[in-house]
Amino acid sequence: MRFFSPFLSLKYAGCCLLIAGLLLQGPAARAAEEYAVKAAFVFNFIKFTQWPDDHFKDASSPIRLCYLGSGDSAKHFFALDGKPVGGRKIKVHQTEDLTICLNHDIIFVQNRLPQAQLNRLISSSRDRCILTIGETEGFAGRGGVINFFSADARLQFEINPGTAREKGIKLSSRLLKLAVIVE
Amino acid sequence: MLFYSAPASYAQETGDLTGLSIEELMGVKVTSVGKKAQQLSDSPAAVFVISNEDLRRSGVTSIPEALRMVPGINVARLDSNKWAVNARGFNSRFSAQLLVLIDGRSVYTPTFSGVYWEVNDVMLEDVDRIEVIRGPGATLWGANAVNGVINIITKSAEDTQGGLVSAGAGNIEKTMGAARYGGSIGGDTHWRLYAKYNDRDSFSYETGQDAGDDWDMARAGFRLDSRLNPENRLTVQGDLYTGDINQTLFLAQPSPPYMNPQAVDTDVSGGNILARWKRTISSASDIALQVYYDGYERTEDIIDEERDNIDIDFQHRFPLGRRQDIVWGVRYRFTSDEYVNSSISDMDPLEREDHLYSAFIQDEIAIVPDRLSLTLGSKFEHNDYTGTEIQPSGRLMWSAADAHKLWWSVSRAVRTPSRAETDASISYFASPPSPPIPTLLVRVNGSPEFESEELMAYEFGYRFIPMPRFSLDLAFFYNDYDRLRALAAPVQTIQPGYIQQDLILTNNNGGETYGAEAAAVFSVTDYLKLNLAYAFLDYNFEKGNVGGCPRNQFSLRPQFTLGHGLELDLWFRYVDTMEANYMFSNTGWYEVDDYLTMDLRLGWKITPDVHVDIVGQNLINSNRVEYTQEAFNQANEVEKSLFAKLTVRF
Repeated sequence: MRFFSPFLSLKYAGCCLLIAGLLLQGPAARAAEEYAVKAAFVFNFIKFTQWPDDHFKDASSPIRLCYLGSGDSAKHFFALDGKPVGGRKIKVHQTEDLTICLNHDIIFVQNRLPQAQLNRLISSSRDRCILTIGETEGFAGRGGVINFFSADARLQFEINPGTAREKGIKLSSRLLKLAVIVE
Repeated sequence: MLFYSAPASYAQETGDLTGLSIEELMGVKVTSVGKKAQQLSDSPAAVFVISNEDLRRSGVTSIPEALRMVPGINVARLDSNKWAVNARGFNSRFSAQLLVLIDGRSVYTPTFSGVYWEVNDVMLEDVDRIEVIRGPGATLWGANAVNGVINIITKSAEDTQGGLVSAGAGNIEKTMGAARYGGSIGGDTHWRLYAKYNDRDSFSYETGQDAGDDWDMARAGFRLDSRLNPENRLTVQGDLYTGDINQTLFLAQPSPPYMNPQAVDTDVSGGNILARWKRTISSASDIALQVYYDGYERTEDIIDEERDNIDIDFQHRFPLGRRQDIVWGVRYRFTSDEYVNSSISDMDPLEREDHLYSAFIQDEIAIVPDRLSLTLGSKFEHNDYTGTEIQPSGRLMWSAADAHKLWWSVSRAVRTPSRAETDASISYFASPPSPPIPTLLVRVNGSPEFESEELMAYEFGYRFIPMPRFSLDLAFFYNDYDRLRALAAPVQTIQPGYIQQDLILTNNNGGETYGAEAAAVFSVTDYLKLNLAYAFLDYNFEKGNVGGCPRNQFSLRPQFTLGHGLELDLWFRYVDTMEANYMFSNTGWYEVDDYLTMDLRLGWKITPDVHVDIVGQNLINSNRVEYTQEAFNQANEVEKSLFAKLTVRF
């Protein structure tokens, strides 16, 4: 037996909810475009990376970051241009030319790079002291140092400490603690 | 009233993000331009994804209603609380060829090899997406994924933080209420609790008389997700439900009134608990272990049943060399049931415990990296009805150009017998004496000799995604069925006072279905988005029609995003004529008329956290029969539904 009209009680509940909604604040749900987040991560990677003492020409040499790929997404990386890290400034370039990339300290390899070119990059950067960061499945297992992948709409990254060591690059333990370690 | 001119987006640019610590960055949700289209374009299968936004804009209040927007899926509402859903033909309340999963948990019942849609519900606001694969998904999902797989995936607890309360009322949706609250323990563990309640009104028969099929359901549950460390994730979730479903069932008896209408109050209840552990070995390799318990109880006059399931599933993915990606897995499923016979049903044995063992392996081979890949795989299962079943499949994916992708597939799938098909005897029709013909009682009998139905499917697809704002997805299929369920010629026996006709289930039918499906999405401007779905189906069966095969189906959803937080969504649907098995007809068939109908939704975001929806469903051509149940129920008419809903987030 209904002792009250469902519509009436709902209208009353509805008004209460409306007032509550207008007064209370929702928790800030942080969402951002994929490459904006990746660029912010790369900024942090640079903060936690140490190149060998004799790697840079002098105390004022910039940290050269190369975006190997094409398209609009690079604009998020250009936002890092000029930012200071540990006394040096970041200098950002975008190119699709592999040889130009090899003259940098960090290479971000876009996932749209064809397999053949990716293999060439890995082999030619092997003996160089370059922090290679990718976003292709299996990159860290095949010669890259850091690689992005996603799980549940959030970014994760894997690090191959062996490859970093071979290149003479030292990564902070704070960074390694947050990564999936790949041999 | 406060007005916001544009929804406050929390998206931040790189500049702001560099101010976050690396630990904080790991919690930022990442959105990608054209991500949905990108994900779909890499699958060598007929995949359609219903997003959370699609669910919200369509105004649907249940999962089967949402499936109407998928090309190739046929959804027919039988009455207020029952739906017939299938893919590529064969529709029925007891559709056996579709596998349905909610967060990895199968909601398929071995009682009749189908889904009780009325007890499987989720809070739609918390659904991340529904992936629908038409065609055999046997290799990855196993037997009974013959015509398709529906995968309902809810959001992780991290994405449902804070509170959400919604309340609504209408003529058919008399009362609907839902509440959810999500919190976190530290930065890496998140949880949510929810409860929902729905009370729905009855529909009417073709005569206009009330059909007595009103129902109400209450449901509650939780989910907990934890990032134990970068390599390990744990999810635990569970639900409980209880409901009261009314129906008027016509029960056969060999004495007046022969088809006895009984108002039946069906009590349903159930619950489940699931734990899933995933370990990431690298970006290309991971292992996952999932364990769950699922149980339900159902008391209605056709049959009383109780079922408990335990399922353990292990999967491992890893790369092999430079060009291969292997996934393999093993699974064990235990199901135990208990039935109580009724005046019309006889289940023998009344209790049964069945074990299912299965293993699968799949190898994706990059023949030409980035261009051509071949996926070979097979599932091996052993069940207690038919023994060992092998279901191989091969798929080829060719990226002809950036915007053009083609795929081909050949697969074998089986649909294993249900409990009812092997062990049940059900009286479903009785006719009064009309001399010289005496009283007749007709029974359908299962048989232990009933075999698995078999399908060989040949499919081809083409995807055209020239730009993020437009995509076109085409799929073509040819299905060759063998050993389809059919009724053997009746055996007559003389009983005291009447003649009993026993029909035995056999696998005597076979045939083919073939058709095409198209899905297109076009974001015309920032204010207008068009969603189109079309399906064509034709068939040829040896021993007569199987039913539930509409020749043409069409769905068009124009979405208008007007200013000031206003949204106007229309949904036009057309379903062609169909034949439905119908005991109450002289021919045994009900000719269902084709129909064109329209839904309309007006949405208003008063503030980013307060939304109002006003929805009208079946606004044209209401009071129509969409389909009929084979037996027990007379044809019911789907009615016009109007409701208003308020949603508040805090």
